[in-house]
Amino acid sequence: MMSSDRAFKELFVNLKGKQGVVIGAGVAGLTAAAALSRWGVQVWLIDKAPVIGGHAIQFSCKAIEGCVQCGACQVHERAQQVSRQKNITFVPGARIVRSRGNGRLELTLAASGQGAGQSAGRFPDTLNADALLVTTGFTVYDPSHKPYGYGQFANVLTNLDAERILHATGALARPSDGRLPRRMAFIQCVGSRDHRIGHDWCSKICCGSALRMARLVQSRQPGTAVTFFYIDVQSFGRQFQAIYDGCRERIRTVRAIPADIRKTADDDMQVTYFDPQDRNATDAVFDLVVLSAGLTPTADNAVLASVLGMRLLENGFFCPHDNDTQPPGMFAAGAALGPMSIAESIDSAGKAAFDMVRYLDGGRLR
Amino acid sequence: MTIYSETLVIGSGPCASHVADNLAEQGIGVTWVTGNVTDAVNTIALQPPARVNRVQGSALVGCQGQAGSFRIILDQGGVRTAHGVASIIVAEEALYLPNFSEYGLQASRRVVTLSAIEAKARDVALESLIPPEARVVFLNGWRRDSHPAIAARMLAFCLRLQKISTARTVFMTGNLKVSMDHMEACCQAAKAAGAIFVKFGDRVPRMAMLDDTRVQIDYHDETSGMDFRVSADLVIVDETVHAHPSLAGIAEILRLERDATGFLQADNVHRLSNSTNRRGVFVAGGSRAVAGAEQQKADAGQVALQVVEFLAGRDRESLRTVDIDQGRCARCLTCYRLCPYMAIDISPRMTVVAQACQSCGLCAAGCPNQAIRMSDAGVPEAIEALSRIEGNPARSVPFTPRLAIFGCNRSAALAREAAFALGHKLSAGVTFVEGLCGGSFSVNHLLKAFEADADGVLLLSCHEGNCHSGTGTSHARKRCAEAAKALSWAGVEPQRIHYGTLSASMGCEFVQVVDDFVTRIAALGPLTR
Repeated sequence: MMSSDRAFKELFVNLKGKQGVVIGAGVAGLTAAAALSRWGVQVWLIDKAPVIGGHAIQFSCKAIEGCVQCGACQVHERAQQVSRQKNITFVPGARIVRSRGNGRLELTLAASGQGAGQSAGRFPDTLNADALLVTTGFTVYDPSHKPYGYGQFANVLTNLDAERILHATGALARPSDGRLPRRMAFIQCVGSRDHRIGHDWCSKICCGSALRMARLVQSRQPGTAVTFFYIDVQSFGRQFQAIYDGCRERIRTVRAIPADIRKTADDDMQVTYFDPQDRNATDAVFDLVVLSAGLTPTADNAVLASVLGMRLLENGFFCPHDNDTQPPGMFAAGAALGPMSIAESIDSAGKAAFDMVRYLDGGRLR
Repeated sequence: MTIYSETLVIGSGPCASHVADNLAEQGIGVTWVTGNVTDAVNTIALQPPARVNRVQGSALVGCQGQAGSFRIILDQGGVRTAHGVASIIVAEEALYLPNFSEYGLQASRRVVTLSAIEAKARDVALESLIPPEARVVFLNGWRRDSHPAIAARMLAFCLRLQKISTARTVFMTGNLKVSMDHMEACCQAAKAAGAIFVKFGDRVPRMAMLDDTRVQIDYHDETSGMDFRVSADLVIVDETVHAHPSLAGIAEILRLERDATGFLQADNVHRLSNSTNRRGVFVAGGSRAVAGAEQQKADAGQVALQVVEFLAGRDRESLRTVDIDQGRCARCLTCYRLCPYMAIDISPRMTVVAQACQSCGLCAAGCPNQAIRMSDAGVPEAIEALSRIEGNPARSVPFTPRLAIFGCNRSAALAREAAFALGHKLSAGVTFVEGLCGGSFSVNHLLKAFEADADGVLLLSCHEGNCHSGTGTSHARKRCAEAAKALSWAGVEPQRIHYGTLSASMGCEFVQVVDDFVTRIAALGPLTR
């Protein structure tokens, strides 16, 4: 048997000096870039945004007394690890506009147009890549298509808006007047599990995000009454049952998705829903409503896939790279494949890194 | 010390097989122990991959040593053998238990588990398994929520039955779990094919056995608000997912943390994806609560990469050397008890095994004789820098307190950077002292800060359950309490020491906790020495 020591040296020699391009610097891209760089692969980490970390860098920690495994801290920790690696170059504000070659790719970069002037936008015009990983994540569903007044009523937010406000200010106040809400509502499945708009998927993260956020708000802003409108509560993490049971004691859960939201004279939100208990259309007034807007395929997936010659699934997310469904040397991970939590994205990126190392080592994938 | 190159894979099912295969493919020597036959949950005959030494019906019964040089003892039918391995991967399957009692049912010809019917359907055509026009009821997640992986298998079987047989299916559930790939689409397809979905509300269905052995179920459907009765020709009952019973023994032998439900990994984001509290010991698949065949296969891939990284010494940036000064060491074993990573070797002398150490500094901070030195820790220098803060804030008007903030480099240090990124500024007179862990600061460090002219000391560690070292947070809290007690003995207000927890993403909370502390110390005024 070949000694392991020799096997590692060979593997390292085979990988050192190879170039890897990772598109998307969210949690999946950061995880995969770090793994590749440990093997001496020169990694270019490209993102259309001017800052590293993707969506989750703006998420708030949901710990109350102890950690509840939301994973938000992992993005910060991994971003720092990546910034320390000499063989990872972060290329902000860039996108790929052309790809040539088979095996070794020549990629042409252009400015993404996001955050112009902030990042100085200096990056090479072209890059060579021996392997490429798509970790472009998701686009949050735009709920202005729903009758909830999003975009018109200041006190209707998406889950990501609420995350950003909590992260930036440490509290969740009403945007209209800065007052702390007394009666909050979370509405789940906005743009998820919605057959009529072709979204035949569960966004996976929203139940965990909303219930953890509800508990955080109740802990920081005591006396806040929370109502949770849902279809089915989805599991999240190993502590799911404990967290969910704890939530049910403090939160009113209503198995109904509201029909619409109207604004009252006080900037309060009047929510109309079909009450499953008394089986009547019911109105309830809240001073803040958070819509759990679903995770949808990134808006420019189709363009990126066509530039790279990669395949998308029917629903618009990237097709997994297993079973030779993607061109040689092209891989996909994280929420680019479909909705995923932070922990799942880390797993997905770890698996993609393993596949990429094997490919770069022998130019083969199983 | 002998550094081995072999690895040990533990597990009786497909996940262990995949792990062994992936490692062997990289030219790594693999010994695969399949556990005692009675422990085997998957009775499929797995062919060992080439180059893998499978020791069937064997179990791990002993382990000594550290990462890179584990000395393990295997038992095969009473015969014990010793082996040297560099790394150990536990990839035992999860245990699936039938949920009959939850529904007040017993297994019978008409009441079967999901696994049993799936197994039968692999060998026999569905038509011969299910009578024509049979009413088939699926029971899923009634009092306690179903595991999504179980719900996914149930839903797939329901769809298949509804589509290709004449059976009429009813899927009864509390919360319909659709949080795995393609489940919502599968559910839509089953509905379109005619499957009936019923959701239990707070009212619990009643089950009764009819004279012809069919099961009669009376239920209240929350969606329609109506009461229904169904007589089932076949009831398919879900299963609950548990840690494999052998994991308890493995955890004891390998001295591994377990989570509240018995899986072989603390439920701590710093263990993502496959790490344990011991370097060189990894956990994969059902042993860390990953369910679903595809997910387990993917996990077997990523764990293999991590094992190879570890064996090649590429899994960490740089090694801090930790030395025990043998002249000062009194062999009190404090370090041995404190080390969360089992990195202290006690014979022939107390030494820190570099291969196993994760540089948390708990040992150095806890050593009563200060016999442990860590290179590159820099804490004493940072404390000393306090007294050199330009100008003398203590004399400024109004009084600006001089504060030392001790923080973990995984949480508070990053939260501080996040605060700067959000545009916050810290009060003048605040010095930040970064440590390897909240538990790396000793009582001595905290008191030294006062000697270096601090008016107040704040120690910020990770939240409970988020500490990489597991116990660092509780050590930090205790040391703050001890230091505060020492202050009051010296006639100083103990409120000048404060303990808090933060995570890396809490930029504005960092500023809030610092500002609150500045206000508190400003109210107390300068510390008169």
